[in-house]
Amino acid sequence: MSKSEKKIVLKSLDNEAFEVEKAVALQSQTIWVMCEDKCVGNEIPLENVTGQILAKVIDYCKKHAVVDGDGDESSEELKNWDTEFTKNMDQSTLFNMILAANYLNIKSLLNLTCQAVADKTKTIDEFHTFLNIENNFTPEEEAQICQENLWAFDD
Amino acid sequence: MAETKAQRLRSVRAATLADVEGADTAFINILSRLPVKSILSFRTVSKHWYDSIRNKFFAKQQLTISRDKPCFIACPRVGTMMKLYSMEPGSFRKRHLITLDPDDRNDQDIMYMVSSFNGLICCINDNDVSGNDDFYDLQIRIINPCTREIFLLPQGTPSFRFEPAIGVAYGTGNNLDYKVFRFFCPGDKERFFECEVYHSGTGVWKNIGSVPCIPMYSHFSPFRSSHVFVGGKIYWLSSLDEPGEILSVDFEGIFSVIQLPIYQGDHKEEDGITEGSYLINYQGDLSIVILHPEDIDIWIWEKNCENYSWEHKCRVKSPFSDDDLVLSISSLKNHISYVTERKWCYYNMDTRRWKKGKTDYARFMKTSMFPFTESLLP
Repeated sequence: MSKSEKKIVLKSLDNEAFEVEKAVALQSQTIWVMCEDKCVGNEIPLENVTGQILAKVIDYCKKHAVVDGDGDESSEELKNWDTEFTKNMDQSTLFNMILAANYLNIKSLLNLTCQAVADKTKTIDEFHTFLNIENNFTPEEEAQICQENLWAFDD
Repeated sequence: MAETKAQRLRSVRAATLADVEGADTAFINILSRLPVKSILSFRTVSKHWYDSIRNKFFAKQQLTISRDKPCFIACPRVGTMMKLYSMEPGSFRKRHLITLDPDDRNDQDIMYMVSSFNGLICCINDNDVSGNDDFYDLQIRIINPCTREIFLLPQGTPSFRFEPAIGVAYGTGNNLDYKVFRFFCPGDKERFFECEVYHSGTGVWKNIGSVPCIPMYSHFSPFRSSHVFVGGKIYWLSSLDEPGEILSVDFEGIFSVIQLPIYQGDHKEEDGITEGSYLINYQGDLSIVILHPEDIDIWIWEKNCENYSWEHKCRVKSPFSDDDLVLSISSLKNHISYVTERKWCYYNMDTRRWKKGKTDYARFMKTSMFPFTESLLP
């Protein structure tokens, strides 16, 4: 296999191009399917991800491509790396990462970023502010839900 | 074309929750990672939120994630009210979960936790059978300590001169049903026992006939209901007299009896089975912990080729003094927890080290402790 075949170019929404090892990019199920179908050449356009986010996604994939399959010590190290990776991301970056992980179908990254959002929001006020979400219940409806003792499922 | 792309770029850059809500799997993923207490108090965040968590699919996803971070649930001492705490494995810090005192219970009948599964616990207490001193009954409750839902099972068949014993079997994968097996004496003759099964799917008791033997009173549990559920089967100690018996039953109600480990060869005779023998689920294997005056033995019921046999896993020097009785033993991941009358201890099977808690002068009484995962299940 020649060197160029092992590499792949990912092109972001804002036309930034990233050349990466195939093994790194193939952690994305979406890219894997694209490559399998041979419907694209060596350059893959990613219409939902900006260059800024894609760079972070590639960082993550690189780290995980290198360490996967090694011993226990590195899995501990990888965990720490993951924690550091999401620690200082702001809300908008985190959401973009979730959307990117969802679109690119990288399960471990999706779980990591979702956990980060869950960890950063512990109280109801934090939810309203951090998630920038509007409460669309009427006060009456809200009171009724709070009254519900039983966790009855609507099957 | 260029314009559409620019618009798209703007919308992608300004990501808000609305976008994440659009990506529903991601949204459910975030929600299911929150503690159950938060999920419940966030019911009123928005309508989309509320609809997203009010279904069995979400409850299952939440449980799958919750199973990756199990803790212990403990009732340090029994009393009129039942105080339950959660504890991280290897830690002695107790976090109060709930205090239980169901109305439909006689205050003198002390409630005792006998099982923990899929975020639910099973608690039992004596129940008077009105007008007849010869018959015994139990109240059996399935409780979710996080959602505070309490479900009292329908009354079982009154038992003639024999306090009923129970054990709980449950689905561990996608099937989240549970079954309560209840041993009782139907009354036509003494010392003849039958078993009836309550299935959460049907909501009724069903008699499955006679049984090979019955669970024994063991350790400091007030009921004949100390059991473990491992690999799809419930196990009860039935007899400690040589060769000793363990009764087991699978989800379909098929009983079998296995013998206790045999001490021979290298092991001295006085090191045999003792009163201090406890069944635990050690990392998915049935195990028995046997306390000797000087040492603690751990045996594992292992499959070799087609047959199961007891393998001696390890012998550990006992850190307990003669006058400090061990009340409860449980296991989570590589930790084995011991609760004595005065303190909590963990033994880490990997590092082979003990971690002992401070002496608690308010003595523990009839302590029960089990692995626990938060869930939303009813």
